[in-house]
Amino acid sequence: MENQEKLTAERSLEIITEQLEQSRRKVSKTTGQSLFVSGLSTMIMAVVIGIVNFSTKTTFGHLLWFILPLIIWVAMKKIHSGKGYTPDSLVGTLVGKTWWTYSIFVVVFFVIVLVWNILFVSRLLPVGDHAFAIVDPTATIMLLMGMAVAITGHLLRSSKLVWLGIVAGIAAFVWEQFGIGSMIMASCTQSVDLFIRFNVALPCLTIFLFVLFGVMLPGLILKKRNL
Amino acid sequence: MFPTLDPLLHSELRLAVVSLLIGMEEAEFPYIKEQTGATAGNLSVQIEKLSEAGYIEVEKSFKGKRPCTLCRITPEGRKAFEDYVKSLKSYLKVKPTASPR
Repeated sequence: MENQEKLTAERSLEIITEQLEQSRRKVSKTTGQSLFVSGLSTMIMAVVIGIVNFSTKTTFGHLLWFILPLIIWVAMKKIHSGKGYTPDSLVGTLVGKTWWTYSIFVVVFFVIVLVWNILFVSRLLPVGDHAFAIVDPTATIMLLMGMAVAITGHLLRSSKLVWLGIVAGIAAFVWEQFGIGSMIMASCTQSVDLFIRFNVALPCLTIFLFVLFGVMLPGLILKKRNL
Repeated sequence: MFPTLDPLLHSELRLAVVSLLIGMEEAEFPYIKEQTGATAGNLSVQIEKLSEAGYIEVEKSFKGKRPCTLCRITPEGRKAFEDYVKSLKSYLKVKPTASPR
């Protein structure tokens, strides 16, 4: 680009649009890549935890979720290591802050739920009340994730991302919170042992499906849109 | 009566630099050079002009042993850009009647 001093209003507008569009495309691509990698890692983790819960008939496999941020961080470092310098854009920073806030909410909420379910409900309440007092973190975590995906979509002006986030977040919340999966399973299986095994592994299936449609797919769309 | 367009921003390269920086927190010199497709010499001169006007801030430092020039837009630069876009809009609004085909 040379320093042309005689500019028309149209050319000025073209330059401004071009530069803003270029920076938006870069942020979209990076975000798409991040969503794709985070989604893939979460799906793999959901499969591993599902297998652990299924085979042990407990929900202790969920503790493995705590290492997921570390896995995602290492994967991101590896992906971005050879890519050279990319400046922080304002939109990129906002997207990053959205997901940082989401992570804080999820970690704190997860810890509170674990403490409540393990220390208080199982020790202080009579056994009959457990089913009512136990808090299922999966539903709320996915609802929050759906919201984070939708906000990211708004920031990147991607209506597909907005709608996938809203629909996947609400669908996963309803499915998990009202035990639709458990009800279907109870009507399909006669064996109590199998029912318990499936029941402890079911949230992982919900997470897997939600992340596939609410995180990985939008990530892929963003990545492809900006190729 | 049309508002006058800021002569400092009404130049292809300087406008591209400011448009690029408006959406960024800061950017390194080689990145701006790559995005605008300008030559290093020309870009240095234009950045110097924008810096002298107080539209951008230039910070020179070192990244290891490599010199690093960081540019970021100032509040004055942001204001000037907003005014420029406003003026531009008024030109574009009147354009179809001013020069009918």
